[in-house]
Amino acid sequence: MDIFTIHLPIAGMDFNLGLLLLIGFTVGVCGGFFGIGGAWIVTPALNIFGFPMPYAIGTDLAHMGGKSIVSTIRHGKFGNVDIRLGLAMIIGTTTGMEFGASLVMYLERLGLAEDYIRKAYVVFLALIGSYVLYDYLSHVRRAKKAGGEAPAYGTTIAQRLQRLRIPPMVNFPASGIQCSVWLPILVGLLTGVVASVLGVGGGFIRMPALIYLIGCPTLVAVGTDLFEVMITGAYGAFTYGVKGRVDLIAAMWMLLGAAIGAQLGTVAVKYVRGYSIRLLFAVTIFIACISVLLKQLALQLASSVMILAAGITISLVILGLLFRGVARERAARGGLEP
Amino acid sequence: MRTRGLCSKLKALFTWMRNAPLALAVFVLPAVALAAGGGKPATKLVNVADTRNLEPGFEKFVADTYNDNLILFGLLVVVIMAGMGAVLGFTFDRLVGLLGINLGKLDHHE
Repeated sequence: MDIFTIHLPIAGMDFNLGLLLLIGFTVGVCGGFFGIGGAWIVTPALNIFGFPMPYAIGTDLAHMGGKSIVSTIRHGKFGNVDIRLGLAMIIGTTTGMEFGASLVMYLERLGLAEDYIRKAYVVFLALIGSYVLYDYLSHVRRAKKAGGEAPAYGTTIAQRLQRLRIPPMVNFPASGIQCSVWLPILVGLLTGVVASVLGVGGGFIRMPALIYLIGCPTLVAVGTDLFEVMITGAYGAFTYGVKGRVDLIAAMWMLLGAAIGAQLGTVAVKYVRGYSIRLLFAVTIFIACISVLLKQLALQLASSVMILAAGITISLVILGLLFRGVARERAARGGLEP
Repeated sequence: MRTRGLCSKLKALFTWMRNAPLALAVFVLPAVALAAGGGKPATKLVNVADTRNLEPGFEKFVADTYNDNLILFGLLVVVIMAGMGAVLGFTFDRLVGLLGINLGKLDHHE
């Protein structure tokens, strides 16, 4: 055993420390930028590198809660967190997560957990990626036609849902919307079930749901989602911990790498527009989808290289946007000085 | 004119040389990482941590808690992750603030 290998007594295996930090950092950058927990990298990556799927899910959820605290602190200071909306969603999310966790344990007893979870992953990733990409392309087309800023569409799904007058109606000033309190609760319930079954904080489902079903601006969706991921991650860590499916030592090392990445990824949102985040999000989702599909087709090596390569590439793109933005900001500030 | 063309070609070459190792690293790193930690997914699903070879310390404490009381272990996971997250979050937030970036409220433009 070399100095970079640590023993993980709970998962019952030795693991490379650099790999844990790398996975953590990569997922931290992506998570802070997209407002997701990043389980699309962590769960398959840990599983591919030797963690049984239920341990990978639990360990991922554990570090996700801690990492989301890092991002939420920064997004909160940027004014991107709608705490009232986040709290309304939590009621549905926690209930949904408990249903989902029981379903995973049931599938595990039947020996179907790994297969079913992976198939569900592929379907969800493909659906969400397609919709976000379609939305981005429509936006670009409308902007081209208008010769600049894209005009708003007719009526969006979110606007229709906001018009449902089921009391009590609530104002969410940080998001600039008013809707029935049942809307965020039901969206939370749905995303909670899916999140728990797939072993994710739910970010990659909830972030688009906040934009397309509730009607939040992209940056508020990112920040509010991270607030949600923080709570659901903590709740998921507890339920999986009680079921004995968390390797705490691995989660701690991953969190160290993730905290650095999350801070950088969160600050990067300052330098991009909402639709740029949506485009990168769609690309990321498709890459994740292809890698999980490759694994389903028993192309293990190709899948594992692809998922880490994709994570690192997206992280580098985000870091590139951050450094370019900082350089421009400094140059602009330098130009203003006498 | 020819000198300018040559300069732009050299500039392109230098850009390529600067970016090539980065692009290579993106694909090589995961492969190296895979070689370092890779293997077939393990199959352990029994809730017992092997503490026989562990020295007294934090790892042993975690493993013992896991073996003795899973509810306490679940609470320990949440407390440690939340504590680490808060400490690291405020620390790195302060460090980024020292870089001189304007970290005020953002406009929500799409």
